[in-house]
Amino acid sequence: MKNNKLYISIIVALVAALLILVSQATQASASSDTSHQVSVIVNDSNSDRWIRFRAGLDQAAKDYNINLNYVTTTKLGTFSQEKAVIDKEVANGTEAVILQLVNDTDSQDYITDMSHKTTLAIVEADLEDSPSNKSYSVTQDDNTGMGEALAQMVIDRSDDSTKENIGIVTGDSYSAKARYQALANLFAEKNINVSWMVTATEELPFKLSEQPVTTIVALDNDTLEEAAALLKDEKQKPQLYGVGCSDKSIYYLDNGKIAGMIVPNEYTMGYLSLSKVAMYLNDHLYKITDSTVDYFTITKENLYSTENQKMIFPIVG
Amino acid sequence: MAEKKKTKPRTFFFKRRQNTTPLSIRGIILVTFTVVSVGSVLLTSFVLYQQFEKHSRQMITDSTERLTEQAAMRLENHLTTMREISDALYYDAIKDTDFGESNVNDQMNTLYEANSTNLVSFALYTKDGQLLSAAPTLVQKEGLDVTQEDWFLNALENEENLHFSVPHVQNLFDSQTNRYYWVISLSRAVVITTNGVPQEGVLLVDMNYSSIEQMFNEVNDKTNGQYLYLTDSEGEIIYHPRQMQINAGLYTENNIQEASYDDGVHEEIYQGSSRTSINDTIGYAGWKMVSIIPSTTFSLGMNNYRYFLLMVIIVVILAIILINRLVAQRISSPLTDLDESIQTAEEGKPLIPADYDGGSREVQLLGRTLEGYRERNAQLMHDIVVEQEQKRKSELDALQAQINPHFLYNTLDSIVWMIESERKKDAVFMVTQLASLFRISLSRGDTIIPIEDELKHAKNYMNIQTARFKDSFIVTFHVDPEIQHYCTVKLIIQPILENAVYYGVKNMDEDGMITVSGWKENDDIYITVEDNGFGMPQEVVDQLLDSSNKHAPHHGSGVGLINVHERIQLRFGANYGLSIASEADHGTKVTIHLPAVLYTEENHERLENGTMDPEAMHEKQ
Repeated sequence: MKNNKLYISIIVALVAALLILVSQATQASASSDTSHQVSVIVNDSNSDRWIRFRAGLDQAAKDYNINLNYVTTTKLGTFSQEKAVIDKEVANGTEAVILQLVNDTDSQDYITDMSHKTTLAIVEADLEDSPSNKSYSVTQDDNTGMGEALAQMVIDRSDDSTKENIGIVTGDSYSAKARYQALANLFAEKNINVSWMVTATEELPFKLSEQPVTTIVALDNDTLEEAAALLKDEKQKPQLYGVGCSDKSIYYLDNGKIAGMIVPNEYTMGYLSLSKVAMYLNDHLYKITDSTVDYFTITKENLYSTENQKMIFPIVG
Repeated sequence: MAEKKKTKPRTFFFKRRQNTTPLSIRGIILVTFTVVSVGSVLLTSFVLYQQFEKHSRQMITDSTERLTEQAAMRLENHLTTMREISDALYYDAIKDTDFGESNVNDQMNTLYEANSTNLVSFALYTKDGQLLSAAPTLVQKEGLDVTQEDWFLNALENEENLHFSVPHVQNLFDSQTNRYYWVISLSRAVVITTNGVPQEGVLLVDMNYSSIEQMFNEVNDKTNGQYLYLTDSEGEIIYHPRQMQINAGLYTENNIQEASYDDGVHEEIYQGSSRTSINDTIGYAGWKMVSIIPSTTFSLGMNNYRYFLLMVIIVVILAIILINRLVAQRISSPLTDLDESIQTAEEGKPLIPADYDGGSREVQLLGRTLEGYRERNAQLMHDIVVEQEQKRKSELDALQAQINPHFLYNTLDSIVWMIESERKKDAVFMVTQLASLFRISLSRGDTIIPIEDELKHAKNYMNIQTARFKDSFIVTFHVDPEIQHYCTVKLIIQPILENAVYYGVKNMDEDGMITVSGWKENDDIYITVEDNGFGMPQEVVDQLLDSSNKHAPHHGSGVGLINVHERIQLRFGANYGLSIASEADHGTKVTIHLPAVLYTEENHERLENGTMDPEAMHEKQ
């Protein structure tokens, strides 16, 4: 009799345990539909250079049910400005931040500290001296590859006389610095001398009047756009090459103001960066890995090829 | 060999059954009912769930099929409208215009304004690629050669038909606003009249791709996991909700394969996952509309239902177990009670009718039948006891009858001899002892007497024998007075003394010595008769208490030790009786072992009737 009661008690306990498990599974199933909030902070967020990047973010947000907050920013000149935006987002309860870093030596400690407080994903380019045990993920352009591809395009499309008359506008982003390093290395390897190098397009008219060149290379989208706009009014019309991803840059390429361009795959960068963060937020055992996205070498001639137009002209509804 | 194989499992089964403790009837009912009920519940749930899932799948497939048909119809309407615009432009404007004198810009602009949401531009080209008219008014890109464009070549290649291109970025006009449009080009060959001379030309209607994209996005946004995409007849994607992902290589589609399917529903496995594809052909353009229902879509709505069903099943199983337990208890309790009654009935108690009256008809019948068997068995047992008792009495009577003639003759002879020798006192003593002997022998017919009487009987006997054998041996009694009030079977010492006299000390040259001792040890009583006579070898001793030995000595009065031994055992059980120790020329010692049962009226009666359990004798003191 005592055994009988014991068996019944065990069965009832087992059934109760099963019920609890099933109800927890039901709750877990319901909670898996919960939307996570992720903030995206990039420099000059409304620039049309981010159209493709944002299309990738939007698709990932849709696929992973993410409540995406694409923070509106103006041109963030210093890291302290960017830091203020990040702090505000974290204070507002965002679960993760996708960040394009402003080039500033003060950022490293803050980023390391912040990566322990929230899920952090860096896009476009990593810190110049990234910590070895970093606790944030990076989805970046293949800046070295892009620098080399740009140098190679300049070499391929220039004759011997123009090869020695090259001016460079670098810009001051982390990515531009990395591209410049690769570009300079390849030029050095090919024994090509660069006539001059400036960091901002404001210096370009003065440099051109001081030492005219036949080729100008701009290493990021903003400098490329600005250089194309400036050269429109110059008497001299040096061949302009650069890295760009905005509709305006593509338009300049289409109407001949830019001779050749490297276009980073911003759509993939946007999609991958958010999808990895989303997978981590849904399952904290998921290990986020760094990624490098590809790029396209575009000229006026191949701009409308079937393959290129699919990536260069995004279908954004 | 085959037979061996067949019989093996049965042997194993029976071995298992033999080695396993059998379940109680309550356990069997509970386990059987629970297994059957739970099995039925699970089977029913499984079948119902399968039916529900099948029905649910069918519903999703049907609704997606309807959605696909509706979307196809909308697209066909859209394309028909585009064709009608092209027809209107051609038949109402271009055909009636001599381009040597005027153009169709006004008509084009009017039509464009009326349909600007669905259109990007109109353009009319000569066969050489010269732009004649366009709307809206835009500047054509420098150095453009349209004659190598697919839409241009297709139009001239098959002049009778209208041609729909796959989506592409329009590369005709310089918008001046950095804007680029994805378009689907509808081109046709037209006849252009210039100064009365007809020539071939191409009319291009660039449809705004975003109109089609929006149309399909609206459909896809309403769905729950399933999606719809559009390809041309070769499988080239025209619209896909993940177009950019596919372009970037982040997603793949089975578009080439699926474009080859006939219209209707198809099941397929793609990248290891099963899915349903519903195909519909857009008749006018030859495009294929494909709706995909991944298997996960079917399970999406089912998850909550599955969990709910699982919870219901668990609760039902719990209820089944508890109810079955009650049922098993209800059915088995009369049988369990009956079983307990039978166990108590083995102790001689009657079955209690109430124990099985509450049960089913069969249980009640079984109870009554068992009670009948028990009563008959009890009667039989009683009869056997009475019979045994009578047998023992008869044996005793026979023994006593054997004693009387020899002993009485010899004693009376001795008395006659004493009287003749004027030994009147001795004669009186002998007569007195003989009377006492017979009085105790009779004992009102009782078999069980106090040890005190048995000793007295033994003393009477030895007094007579001592007188008869003229004090040729000495008899000593060392008996603990405590044991005098315990029970014994009567006439057990006298035969032993008789043997001691006749085979031990009678013919000794020296004085014979017989010692009778008695004491209590724990719950047992021991009485020994020891002589210093001739004794006997061990093999003779071994035969003395062997009832199967026909050559056992029966001398003297004929009362053998085996007889005494069996009488004790008959009454008190196999643990009691005689034990003999003897050694040639050193004497013999016979030990009587009895249980210590106080001589009370109750014990006396129960021992006489044979109803006292030998094992329970000590408890009755």
